[in-house]
Amino acid sequence: MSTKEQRKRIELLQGTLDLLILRTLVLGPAHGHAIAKAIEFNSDDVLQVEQGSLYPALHRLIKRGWISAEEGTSENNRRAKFYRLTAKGRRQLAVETTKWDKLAGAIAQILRPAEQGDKS
Amino acid sequence: MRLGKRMIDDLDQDIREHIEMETQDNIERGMSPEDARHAAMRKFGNVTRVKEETREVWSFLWIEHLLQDIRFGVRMLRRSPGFAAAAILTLALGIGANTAIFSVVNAVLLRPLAYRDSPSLVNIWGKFAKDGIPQNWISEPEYWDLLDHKESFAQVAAYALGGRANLTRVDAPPVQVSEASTTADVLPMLGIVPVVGRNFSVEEDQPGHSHYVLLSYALWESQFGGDPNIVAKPIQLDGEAYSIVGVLPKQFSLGGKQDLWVPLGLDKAKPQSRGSHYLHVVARLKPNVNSVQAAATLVTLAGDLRRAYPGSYGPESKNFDMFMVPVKEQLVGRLRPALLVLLGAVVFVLLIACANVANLLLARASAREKELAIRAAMGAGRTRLVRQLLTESLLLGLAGGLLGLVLAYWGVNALRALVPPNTPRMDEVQLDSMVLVFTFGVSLLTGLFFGLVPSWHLAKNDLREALSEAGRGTSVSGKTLHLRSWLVVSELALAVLLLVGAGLLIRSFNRLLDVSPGFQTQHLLTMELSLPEKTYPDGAPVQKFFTELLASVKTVPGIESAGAVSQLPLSDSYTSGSVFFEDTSIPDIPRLPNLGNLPYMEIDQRAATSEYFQAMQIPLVRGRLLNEADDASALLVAVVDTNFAHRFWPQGDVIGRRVGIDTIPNSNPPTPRWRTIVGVVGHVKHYALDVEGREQIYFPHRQPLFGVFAPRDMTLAVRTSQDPSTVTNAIRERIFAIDKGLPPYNIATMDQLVSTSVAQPRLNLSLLVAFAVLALVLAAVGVYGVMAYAVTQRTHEFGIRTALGASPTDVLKQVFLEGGRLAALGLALGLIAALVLTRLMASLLFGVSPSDPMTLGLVAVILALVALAACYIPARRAARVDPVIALRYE
Repeated sequence: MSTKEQRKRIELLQGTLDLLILRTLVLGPAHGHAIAKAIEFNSDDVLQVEQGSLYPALHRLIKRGWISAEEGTSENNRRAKFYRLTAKGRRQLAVETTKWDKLAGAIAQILRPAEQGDKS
Repeated sequence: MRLGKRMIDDLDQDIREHIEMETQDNIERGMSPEDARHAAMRKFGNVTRVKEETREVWSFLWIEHLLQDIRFGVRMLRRSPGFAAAAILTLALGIGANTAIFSVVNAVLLRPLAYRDSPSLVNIWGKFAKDGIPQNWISEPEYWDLLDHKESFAQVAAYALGGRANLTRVDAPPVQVSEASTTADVLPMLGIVPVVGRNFSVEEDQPGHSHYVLLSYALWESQFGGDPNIVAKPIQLDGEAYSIVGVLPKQFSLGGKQDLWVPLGLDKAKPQSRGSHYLHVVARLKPNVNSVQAAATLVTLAGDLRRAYPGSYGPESKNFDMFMVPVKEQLVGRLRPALLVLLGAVVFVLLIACANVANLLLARASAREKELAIRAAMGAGRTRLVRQLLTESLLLGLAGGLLGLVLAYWGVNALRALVPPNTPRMDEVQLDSMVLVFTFGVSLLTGLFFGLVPSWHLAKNDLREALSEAGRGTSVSGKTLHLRSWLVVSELALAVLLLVGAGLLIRSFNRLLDVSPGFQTQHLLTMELSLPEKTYPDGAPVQKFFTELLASVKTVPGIESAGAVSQLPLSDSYTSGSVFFEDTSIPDIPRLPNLGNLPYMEIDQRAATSEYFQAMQIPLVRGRLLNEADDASALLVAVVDTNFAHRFWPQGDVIGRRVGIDTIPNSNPPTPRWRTIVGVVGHVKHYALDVEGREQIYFPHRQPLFGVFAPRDMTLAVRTSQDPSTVTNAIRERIFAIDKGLPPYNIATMDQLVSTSVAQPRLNLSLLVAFAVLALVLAAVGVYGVMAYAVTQRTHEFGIRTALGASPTDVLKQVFLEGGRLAALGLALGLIAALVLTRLMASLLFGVSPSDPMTLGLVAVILALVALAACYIPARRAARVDPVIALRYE
C-alpha cells in the first residue's frame, strides 16, 4: 500500500475515535463495517482509521455503557452485530462535543495571531 | 464481566464478518476476489493486535499479561543460567551493600529516638564563646532560672553523668560502677518505663533524702542475676545504704553506659555556685512553639543572666549564651557525614552493578533480536515487547534484591561487630520493615534502570531491519557497542570516584597514625581508681593512699615507673577551667571583673603525681617536672605545656610566671592563690589524635586544688619493660593490699586506648575500601565483557588483518589501544567528578587535601593496570585468531 498516500491523511487524536463513533450512531444503530465506512465517507476520506482499531473502541464504549450491541442482519443478509447509542451515550456525546468545540476553539485562537503576524 | 465475555467470544466472528463485508465492497468496486481480500485485510490492520487490544478493554488483562510475562521471563532466565547467575550475583552485591548501609542510616539517622514524642525533645547548653568553650553544661542556678522562665518549654529536667561509685554487697566482691543522677521527672518525661519496679518519685528526689537507685538492665543481670524481686532490696554505694526502686529497660541510655541511676536531690535553697557547670538539661518544646522561637527565648534568658550576674558571666558582651540542640542531633549528629559518604559510595557501587547488568542484557539483546522481531511480526505490540523485557529485568532485580537481603543480613551482623562500642544506636540496627521496603524499592528501581537500556534500544531500532539482518548476526552491533562502551566508561568513572574516596581515607588514616600523641604509647598500662568519700574524707588519706600505692607498684618486677593523673589522654575523661594570670599585659583575652580585672582563659587542668611525666614519657622542654617535694607545705607550683607557654608568653619567659585557679580560702576581699610555673612539657593530644585540644596545665596532686585537696578519682599510668598486660594482676594485688574494697576499672593498655580512639575512622576506611574494591572488580568485569564482545564481533576483521600480514602483536596492540581509550575516558571523567565530590567528605579527612595529587595519581595507575589486565584475555584471543577459521565463519 502506498505510504505516500497515508502520510497525507490525518492521524486521529487519542480519544477522538470514541467521539466519532458516538456521533455516527446518533443517526441510528449500525454494524462495525458501516461505522467505519461512515467515518471515512463523512470526512471525505481525510480521516482514515485502520478499521481494526474500531473494535477496541467499540468495546470500550460498551463497557462504559455509552452504546449497546445487539444481533441483527446486514443489508446484504449477513449476520452482524449492531451498535446502538444509549441514553447515557447521548448525554456523553453532548459533553464530548462541547469539550471538542472548546479545544478546537482554543487551538484556533492560539494559531490565529501567528497567521496575522505573518501577514503584517 | 459476563457482557465482556460474550463480546469477546463473538469478536472473531465480528471481525470475520467485517473483513468479509469489506472484501465484498472491494469486489463490487471491480477488484479480483483475491486482491479484494488482501486489500480488506490490509485496511483492517493486524488482527492479532486488534484482538489483544479489544480483550484488554475488558479484563484485568494486564494481570494476565503480567503473569504470562513473569512465566516467560523465568523460562528465559532459566534457559541461560550463567547469564542469570552473573546478573543476580552482581545485583545482589550492589543491593546488599545498599541495604546494609541503609539499615544503619535508617536506625541511626532516620528513625526517631525511642523516647515519647522524641522530635520535640531538645538538650539545652550554655557556651562561653570568647573563652573557647563552644558548649558547656548548665549550672544549678541556671537550671532553676530555666525552670522559672520556661515559656517555650512544657518540661525542663536535668541529669548528670560521669559519677562513679563502689558497689558493695555482703555476698560478693566490690565492683566499680558508673553512676548517673537525675531529677525525678527526666525518665517519665522521656517515656521510659522501668521493666521492674517504678521510676523515682518526687519525694525521693529531695536534698538529703535521695538514697534510692534504679539499676541498668545490664547491671541487674550481671550483678543481681536478673532477680525479679529486686525492688526494695538494700545495696551499699561507697559505703552508704541505698534502696533499689526499679530496673531500667535494656536499650535505655542517655549517652554512654550507665550502670545505675540515683536521684539528683537538688537543693533550690542552697544551690552550688553559678560557675559550676555539670548538669545536662533536657527539655520538651511546647506543642505550639517552634524551635526558632524557643531558641530566641534562650538567647533572651542568657542576656538577662549576663546583666543580672556580671560577676559570673563577665562584662564581655555576648560571651555567655544559651542554645539548644535536638536530642537526636546531639546523639548521632557526629556520625552523619561518614554515613552519608558511605551511603553515596554504595549507591555508586549499585550504579556500577546496574551498568554491568545492562551490558549483559545488551549483549543478550543482540542475540535475541531475531526472537523479538518474530514476536513483533506475529502481533506483539512494541509496548508489549518492551514490557516483556522490563518484566525480565524486574525479575532479575527482585532476585538480586532477595539475595542482597541475605548478604545484607550478614553484612549488618559483621558491621555490628566492627563498630566502636561507644557508637550510639547501633543496637537498633536491624533489617526491619522500613529496610525491607527500601530494598524492595531499590530492587524495582534497579530492574527498571538497567532494563530500560535494552528496551530503549529495542524501541529505537527497527525490528523489521533486525529480522532481515538477523541471519548475519552483525545487525546493530556497531550501535550496541557504542552504547556498551559508554556504560563501561561510566562504570570506570564511578570506580575512580570510589577509589579516590578510599585512597583519601587511607592517606588520612596513615597521617592520623603518624601523629605523635605527645607521649610514648607502647608499654603503658592504665587503670582508674575512685576513692570513696566515706573512707577517704579529705586530702591526707587520699594522698597517703596514692603515695603508698605508687611506691608499692614500682617494686613490681617489670615496672619502670608509675604515676597517676586526674584525666588520662584518650580516655574520654576531661576537665577544664579558668586560669587567670598575674601578668596583666597578656593581650586579647577576657578579664575577671571581680578579681582585679585579671586576664583569664579556659585551660585543660590536670592533677598529676610526680612520676606521671616519666611514666608517660611526656618530654620536659624547660624548667623542671613536678617532684616529691611539691606538697602542701611547699611553694604552690604548676607545669604547663608548650602550647600554653607559646600562647601567653611568645617571647619564652614563662618560668617563674604566676597563675591562679582559685582564691586563698576565706580571704576578704578575694585574693588570688598564686601558683608559680616551674616547667614546660610537651603538648599532649588529649581528646583524639586529630584534635589539638586546649592548652594544658598540671598541678601537683599533693597540693590543694580549689576546695578539693587531692582528687579522689585518678588514673594510674604504669610504664613497663615488657608486655604491659602481664603486670595487671600484680598491680591489682598491690591495690587490694592497701584497700580490699577498692576495685580498679577501665583497665587498658595505652595502645588499646589509641586503637579505640581511631576506631571510627578505621571503620569508615575499611568500609569505603571494601566498596571501592567491589566497584573496581565490577568495573573490570565490565571492561572485560565489552572488550570480549567487541573481539568476538570482529573476529572476521582480525582474520583479514592477520591474513594480510598483521602480526599477533599488532592485533594485541589494537585491542589494548581500544581498551585503553575506554579506561582513559573513564579515568578522566572519574577524576573530574572526584575533584568536585570529594569536597563533600572533607570533614572525614585529616591532613590530606581532597584533591591530593598523590592519591589521584595512584588511583590513575591502579585503574590503568586493572583495565589493561581486563583487556588482556580478549586481546590474546584476538591475536590468536586463525584467519582461515575466521573467514570461514562468515
